[in-house]
Amino acid sequence: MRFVFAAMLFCALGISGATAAPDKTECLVGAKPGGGFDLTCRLAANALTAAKLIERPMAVTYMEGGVGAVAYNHVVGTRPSDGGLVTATSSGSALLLAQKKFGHHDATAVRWVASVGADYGIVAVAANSPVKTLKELVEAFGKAPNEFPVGGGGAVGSQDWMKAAVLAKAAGVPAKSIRYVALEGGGAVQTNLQGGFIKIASGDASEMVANHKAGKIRILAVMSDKRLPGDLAEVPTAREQGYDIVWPIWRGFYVGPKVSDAEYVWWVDTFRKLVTTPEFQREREARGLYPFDEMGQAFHDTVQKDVQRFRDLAKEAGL
Amino acid sequence: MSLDYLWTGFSVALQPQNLAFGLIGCFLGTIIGALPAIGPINGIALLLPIAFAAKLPPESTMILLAAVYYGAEYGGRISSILLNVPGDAGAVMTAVDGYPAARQGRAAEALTISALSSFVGGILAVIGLTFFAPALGLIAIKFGPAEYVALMVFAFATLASMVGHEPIKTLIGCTLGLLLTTIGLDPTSGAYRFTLDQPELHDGIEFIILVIGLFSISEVLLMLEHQMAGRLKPIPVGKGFPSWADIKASFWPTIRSSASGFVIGVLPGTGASVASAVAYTTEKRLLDRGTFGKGDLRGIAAPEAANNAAAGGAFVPMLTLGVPGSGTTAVMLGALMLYNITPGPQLFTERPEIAGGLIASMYVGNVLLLLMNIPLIGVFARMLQVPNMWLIPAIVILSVLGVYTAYSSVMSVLIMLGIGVVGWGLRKLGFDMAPIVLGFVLGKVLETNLRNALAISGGDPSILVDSAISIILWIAAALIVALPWWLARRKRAGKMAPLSAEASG
Amino acid sequence: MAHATPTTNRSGKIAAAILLAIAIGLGGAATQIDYAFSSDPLGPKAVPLILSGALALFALYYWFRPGEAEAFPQGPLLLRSLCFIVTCFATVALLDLVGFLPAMTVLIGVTAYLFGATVPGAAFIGVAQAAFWFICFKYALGTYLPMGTLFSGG
Repeated sequence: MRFVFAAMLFCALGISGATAAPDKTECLVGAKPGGGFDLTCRLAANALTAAKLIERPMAVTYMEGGVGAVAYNHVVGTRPSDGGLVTATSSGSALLLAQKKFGHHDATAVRWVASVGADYGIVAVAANSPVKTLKELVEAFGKAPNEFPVGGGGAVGSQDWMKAAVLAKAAGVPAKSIRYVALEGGGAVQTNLQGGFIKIASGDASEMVANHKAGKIRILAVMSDKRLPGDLAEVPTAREQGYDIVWPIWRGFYVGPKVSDAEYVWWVDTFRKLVTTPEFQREREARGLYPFDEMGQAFHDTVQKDVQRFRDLAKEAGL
Repeated sequence: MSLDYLWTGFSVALQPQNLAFGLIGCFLGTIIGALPAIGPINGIALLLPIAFAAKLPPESTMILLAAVYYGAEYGGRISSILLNVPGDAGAVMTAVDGYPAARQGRAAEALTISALSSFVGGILAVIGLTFFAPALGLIAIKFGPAEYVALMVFAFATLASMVGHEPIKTLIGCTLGLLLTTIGLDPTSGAYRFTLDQPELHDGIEFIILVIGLFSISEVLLMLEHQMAGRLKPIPVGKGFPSWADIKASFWPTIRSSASGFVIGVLPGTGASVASAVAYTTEKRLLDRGTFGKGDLRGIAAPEAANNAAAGGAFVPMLTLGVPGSGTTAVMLGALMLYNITPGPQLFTERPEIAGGLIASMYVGNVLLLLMNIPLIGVFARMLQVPNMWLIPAIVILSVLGVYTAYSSVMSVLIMLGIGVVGWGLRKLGFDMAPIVLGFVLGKVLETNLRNALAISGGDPSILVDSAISIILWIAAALIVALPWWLARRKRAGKMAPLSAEASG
Repeated sequence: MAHATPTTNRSGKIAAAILLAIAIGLGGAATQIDYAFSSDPLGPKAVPLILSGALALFALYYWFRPGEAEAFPQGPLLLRSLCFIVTCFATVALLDLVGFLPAMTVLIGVTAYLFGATVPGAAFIGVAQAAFWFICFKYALGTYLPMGTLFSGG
């Protein structure tokens, strides 16, 4: 289970405004309270009510299992035509779909509605590390991969591992020879980095930024297409340093496969309006997410593209 | 470190509004803790949105949430002792001696001693938090995979105390517990193990599902038989307060367990369940003369002190490192970040009203909890006088509903029931449930860290004894196995001295 | 727990046989664990294999030395135990379909009956407690409870 820091946030309730469309809205969290899916649902639930785009507060419900797989099967199998139900999803779901670990359904089994924000991958080292830039790191890593245990918050095959594998590829190290340490979430990655047990951390920007700012770890590169705003503004992107690695961890929603076109379009339009409101932008920032707005067909395409990308990466790494 | 922040904190915590939130939090926490399967994390997930909607200032929110958290550690013991249904993860070991005590009509005594030891554990943890938080934060950093392996070996060594008169059953139970942890996603390789292609099993068996099944459902089945055979006797109410001798006997176990529980709580990889398991088994190893497991009050005091101390300890990495020490503190950390507050050592200087207010409120909260719990003991103890036809359906429904609300899945409840039926069979065959639970609690941490340690070293096992912390823990493990045996031997040798003393040394 | 029947007991032997079968089954399944590679030298199979081996050994020992056990229920007693188990599984399995209130009323009622209530008494306890817990969880704790897809048609 990943504990993305900002992910532990909740807010909900509020005062209702007035519009039409589904008389009851519900956001399904495919995990326990407190994870990334919960964050995504809370973000939508809060902002939708705050921006008065829905009449009554959106209910947030939980269905844990298989990092969203149980919820995915539930939506496809049990509530395929429920127009009031959106389910939180992330690029992690696309990864599981790519690995066929999402039950018997593939990435076209649901209707992808919108993404509402993204986090970005980062590479970090301990604050006292002699390595100052991504280039130095890649070179040192390439020379002596055994000296550089890499820690991430997920198993072999997870996004943190894949980021490490992409980095290793740049250093000319085969994925199988990385000394990869699968830790329990981003918190453990940071304590192990500070303790010197791992030398490279693969993680997400939002969970690492606080300790970077406090000078305990050093983020060498962000895996975004341009620099991130805020506390990480002075950290160069991987691309700037000559490595074409862009790794967004997007968060969004899907609805059931048999939801009517009218309802689907209503959701897409509602999210399109939502992401432009100041209420939403404030909520998104409070959760450590960066803008990543793709609506309807565009989001559908991103999901399919990512599924394919993950599949290629996995194959290349020998998974 | 200057304690100015703490005085600021007390002035915050003692404001009537914050005092009221502390009180509400303690009360809700006690109830949430007492309800099986619903733990502090659910309670906090429930309250946080309300706190935001009410636009509470951050220090009030933190005081409320923290009160729910440690209130739950107080509450968990109630259902453990009265119903053999552990109210939350940290209260499992409390049932081992607490429930037999209640069956003997000593429920009020058990509840009192556990409230007192909870208080001591909680207060000692806050004192530790006050004076040593920054230094202790470093311990969390010094624990890498190899150190966790050594810690788990130590925990298994304390388990040697669980071996009863039929060691084979303890061994089988422990192995079953360990095997259960291997179900689900392997956190290292990403392989799915024993999941039978069911997404519900991808995350493995949840601890609380195992515990509710093993303890509560199997207990109901046993009671059903006794009911039919006319062997279910009404429980005497018994006298209320433990004797002075009992309290004195529980003093050192409580202090020791508070200390070990606090340190285990500080470590981000282990929490209240490991803390209470280690505390219980250690005390049993040190003190047991055949009374543990049969309602020994020291066996109730130890795990309760430990789980409350662990809850306090979990705040250390959260406040000093910005890294959660448990699932619940992870949610609270998120709450802080929603207020745009960055945890870390600078919190004590930059926002003393939050760090200090939180810590001060924990002193106040523990006192409130003790004052709230003692008068309620009589009421709780009388719950056992409720006729079975009312009480037992309530146990069943709370077990089912608790698991259902925590996991929103019928499959989880069915798994829990299945485990319950198996547990019933095992109990009939003379197996203890505790070794299964302990194997389960320790197994995952052990396997994951062992494999991570070897991944770091590239397969070289010498990494396991590479640091001072590891070596100390390995030696402690050897001592805890050898000590009672050595003591017994010395006693015997002493009796036979001087003739054979040297020969056996 | 009284009434232990000492010396050789059949249930112990049966349990040992089941445990042995589980050990062999898990050991066999462990060799089939599907993974490309692991970043650690042990891999995901080592621990399950070691544990199932240990369990097999312990089960063998247990077979020869089953120790003491309580007698399992027989006759009407067994029937009642089975009745409880079946009711539990059946009502829970139907939870999503028929909803919380009907399913749990039955579960509470049957349990109350088994623990000595009369039929009308059990029915009363069932309805009263189901309503009570429903209100507690739904409104006081605000948790999601299934209303039954059978009736809402969703």
